[in-house]
Amino acid sequence: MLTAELVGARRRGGELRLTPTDDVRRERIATLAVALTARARAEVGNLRDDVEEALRQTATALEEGGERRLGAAVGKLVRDGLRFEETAGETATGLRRELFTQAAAARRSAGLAPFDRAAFLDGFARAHATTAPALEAALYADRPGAQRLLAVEVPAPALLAAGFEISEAQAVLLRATKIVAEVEANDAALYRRLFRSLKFLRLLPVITRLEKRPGYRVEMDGPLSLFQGGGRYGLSLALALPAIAACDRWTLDADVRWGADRRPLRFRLAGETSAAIATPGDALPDELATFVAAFERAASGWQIDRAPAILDLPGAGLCVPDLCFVRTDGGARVYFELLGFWSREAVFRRIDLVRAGLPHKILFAASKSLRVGETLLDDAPSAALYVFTRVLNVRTILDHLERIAA
Amino acid sequence: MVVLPTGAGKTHVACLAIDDRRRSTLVLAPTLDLVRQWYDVLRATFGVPVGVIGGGDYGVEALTVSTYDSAYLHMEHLGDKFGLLVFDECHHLPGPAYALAARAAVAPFRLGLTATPERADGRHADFDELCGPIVYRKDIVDLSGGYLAPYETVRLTVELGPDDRRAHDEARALYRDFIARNGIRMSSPSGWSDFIIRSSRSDDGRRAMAAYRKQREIAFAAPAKLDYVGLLLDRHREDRVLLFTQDNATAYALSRRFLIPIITHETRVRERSEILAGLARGPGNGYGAVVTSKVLNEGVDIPAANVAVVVSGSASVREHVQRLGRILRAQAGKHALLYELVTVNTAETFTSARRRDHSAYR
Repeated sequence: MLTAELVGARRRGGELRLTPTDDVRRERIATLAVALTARARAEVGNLRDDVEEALRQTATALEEGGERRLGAAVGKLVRDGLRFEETAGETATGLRRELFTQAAAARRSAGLAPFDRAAFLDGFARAHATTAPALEAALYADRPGAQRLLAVEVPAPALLAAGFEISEAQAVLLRATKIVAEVEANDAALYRRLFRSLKFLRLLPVITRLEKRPGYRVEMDGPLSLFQGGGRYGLSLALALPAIAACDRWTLDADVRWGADRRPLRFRLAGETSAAIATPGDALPDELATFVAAFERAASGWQIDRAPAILDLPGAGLCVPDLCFVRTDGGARVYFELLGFWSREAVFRRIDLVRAGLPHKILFAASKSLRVGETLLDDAPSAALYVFTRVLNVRTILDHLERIAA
Repeated sequence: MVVLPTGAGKTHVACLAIDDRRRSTLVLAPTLDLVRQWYDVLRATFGVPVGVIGGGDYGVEALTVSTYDSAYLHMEHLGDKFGLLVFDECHHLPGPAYALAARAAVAPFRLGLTATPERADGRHADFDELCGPIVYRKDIVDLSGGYLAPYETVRLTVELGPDDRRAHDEARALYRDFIARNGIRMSSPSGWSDFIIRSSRSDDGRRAMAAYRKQREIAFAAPAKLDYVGLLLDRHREDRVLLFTQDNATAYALSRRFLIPIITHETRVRERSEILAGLARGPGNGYGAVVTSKVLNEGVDIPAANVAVVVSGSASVREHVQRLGRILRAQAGKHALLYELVTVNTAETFTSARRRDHSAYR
């Protein structure tokens, strides 16, 4: 992913605009990508420090008037596709521990004579059936800069160029505090994929149907957006863009804080053809995946549907459950949505949805840090709110399921 | 705000303040190492459960310790829960994000602790609003020989060899020419950012930036300086020595050349703990020296260390005082010694003079 300093963007009044990517610029990006990818392929087997330096030199050599930032940006996208070896940190750590301890003892026992590094290393190497140069090479083999390049898995240059504008927009959204997107898709599966991706990113969007045309309006922000320093959720908001851009028609309106002074600006973007960019799909966030594994180990009499339907209450809003619990003996279904620790407001919106008549049995789970009480849904026969401290408890959730299903 | 040197008892002052006010208390510290130290001290002193926020933990108790970063992230939920805030190493507080954490809290009682309140950006003026004015101050010279170990500072100068001198002077001339032609005043508060911005706009500028880096690297890691480090390590073979550098490259070079452990931001927590424990044991069955760039500048308690060698550093008075502070914790018979190695007729001469502008070095 690109970062803010690699983006060509200018302020126009209260708006932030990206440098337009026309066909000429796209072709130039592809040219840079071809050269940098070729250079990276030539470096396979070399150390990360050397590979980085080689790519820097290539980008500099390819520079044409005033496009240093573009070269650096394409270089970053190429570097994102490099796969380096995973080094066994423990081996190098153990070597350092032993070698440095013995070196300290040797220096101390040398009396008034200077410490003889070469003699010490030779002796240490002999005792370990190796050589001094091999020891020197192994000493910091676990440093990131000492990892060897194994493979170059960069998208094809034309694809990288085609997605460049989205990459730049993602870098802008790293500084976003709020996003409002309107999406239209010809295939309902695209909506489902978008909403799942947002859940995977732990975003809790407010989703409503568009009034005058088919499609949805998706609002996302974080609790700290009220404060000047807000930016904590920028990464999740940036990662949401490919899922939005995968829709057939979309517009995006974001509040960003840009530049060293974090000046509040508006950023707008739109697209009409779905971008072929990888999204998390139906994967579950870690905390939910851990819970599902624990639940499935317990003999509960319930099965989990990991891809439940989106629940729509016309005029009131949408709810995108994470899971649906299905009773094995009678088929009773209870939907489940994890509200996590992000937004207190999101909890109250779900409660409003239930009170507006959501015609489904549903259990919400919210972190204790959101300071909401389970009594909020005491009067709802088909819904419950479970407030958890750190992790989702299987037994407590089962109790809630039995009560709601009864 | 209370200003006391490292090792003079700032933590003890905070415990007395907590006991005196008897309010729910949130202690804020800049690093997880310090959060752990505070947790241990508060548990041992008050014998009650202590909450921790940061490093993956989120536990709130009447006594809670948090990193500044985590407090900033969670202050929406924490701001109304505490009557007393203790800001450790409170010179960090006036930064925009950390200041937000202080402003979002309602605590009427606040205690700031630091050895070095002055900030180069002038924001120490914000202390009054964020945690109150300085009510007590003692500097290193006031406490040396009593609450702190007696100490001595030695400034050693080295010369560049002819080839390095030529390369250094050429690079420095190129860089100085660029800033003169562009009217950049490096001594002004915006001088450095002006240089970064202008140097990125032209080939000339990029060459000037490369030259700036080169002349610094030559001065920081002059061969004569590294030779001197070898002499000092041999001379202090029975001691516990901390070597400080300005950059990681020099730190790794020293580690390789003298076969001593290194602590940088890349060092994993477990290895870092092992290295510090090894230094505490000393050269008999542990380590006699450890080299680091900046990560040990403040906060970490290394009572056994008695010799510091500043191989290279910035012009920051705070950094230099904090580095001296690492070796001043009092122990029976301890006499601390700080060496500063300076390459003459380079920018380091000026840098050294600026960072020594403190009573501890007079």
